[in-house]
Amino acid sequence: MKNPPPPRPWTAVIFACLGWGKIAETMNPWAAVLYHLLAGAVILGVWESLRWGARMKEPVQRMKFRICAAIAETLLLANAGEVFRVECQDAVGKTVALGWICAAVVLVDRLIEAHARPDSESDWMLDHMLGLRCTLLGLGVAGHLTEKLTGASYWSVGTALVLILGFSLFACFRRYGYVTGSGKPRKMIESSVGLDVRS
Amino acid sequence: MALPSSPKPFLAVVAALVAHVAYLLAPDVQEPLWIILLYGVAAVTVLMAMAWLRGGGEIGNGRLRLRSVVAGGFVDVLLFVGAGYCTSVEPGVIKLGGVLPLGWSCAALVLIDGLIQVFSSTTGKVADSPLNLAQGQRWLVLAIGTAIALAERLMGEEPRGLKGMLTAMLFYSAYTCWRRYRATVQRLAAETPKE
Repeated sequence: MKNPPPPRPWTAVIFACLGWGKIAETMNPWAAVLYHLLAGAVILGVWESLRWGARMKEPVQRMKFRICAAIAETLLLANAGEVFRVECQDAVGKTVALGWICAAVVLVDRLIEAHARPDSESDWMLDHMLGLRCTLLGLGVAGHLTEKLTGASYWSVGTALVLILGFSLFACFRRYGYVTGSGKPRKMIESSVGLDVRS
Repeated sequence: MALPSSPKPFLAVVAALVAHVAYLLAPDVQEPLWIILLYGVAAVTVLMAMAWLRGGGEIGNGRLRLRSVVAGGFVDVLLFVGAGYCTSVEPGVIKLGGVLPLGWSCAALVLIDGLIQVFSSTTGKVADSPLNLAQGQRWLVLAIGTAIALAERLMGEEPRGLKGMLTAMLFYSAYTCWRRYRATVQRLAAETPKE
């Protein structure tokens, strides 16, 4: 099997710095298509730059990957919160907080993850949280464009953010259980304890 | 006041929650007594959370340490976000350049700083540079900012002091993050055996 390409953590941060939070404000349909494609490309770029990073064993690379992933995801979610604010027609701007709430939960999840050992086992869902969040955001952007062009609302950035919040909170509790040894299954706990946190 | 012997993460989160509510309510009250009470509660509970989490990231007990680190993350979010909404000036959020919500940005940056510190601690206990902003110092700055905001509010002025403190904290936290990141990368690279 071909070896996976090395992750490019700083490329992901550069991609994420391309703000796409204002895509909802454009009125021209062609410009809307263009901006939404750009937003999709940003999300895809972040995911593609980081997708193999979870397998890194070398400490410096692993640290770079995790910190850059945290920064990139925070920026993506903050931008998504801005789109959600416009979706809600909220001039005051308090609904922008949903994106930031998601970002804070994701960061706490990463804080817990940092306590796990590099060679520890984990479950499939926790390993693929980055992909899951990017997929949901991508679907949110696609749903937003569909609504903009046809007026039919099947899926929105708000739905994506609520799901991301739910999945990330679930991941926080699950990971905390694994890392402290109070979670299940037992076999996984034995090998997933990080900085001797069971003492 | 005698400091607690071991960290109390749960109490720290409760104190931060009280401070968060006080920050959110403060802009809406008009009575001077209530203004003093709410800002006072916010400033005091910030200091209480600081005392209850003191030394939490350095203790040997792994589970209590993880609990302290996670609780510290939640406390950071509750305090900075609360402070970020503590303004009666439209749109009700303290923003940098009218774009960046300062409370949320500070909270995110502080969590990223915490993440770097966890990686830094895996290489063993290393003395942190005095130039780096510690968790307790950030909360102390926030408590001072809250006291300034109280004085400004009583004088009927805009909360420029709190905005200034949050802005300074944002930039200095970013600088601290970069310093800690570089130091940790250098240390990890030095400890990793060359192939």
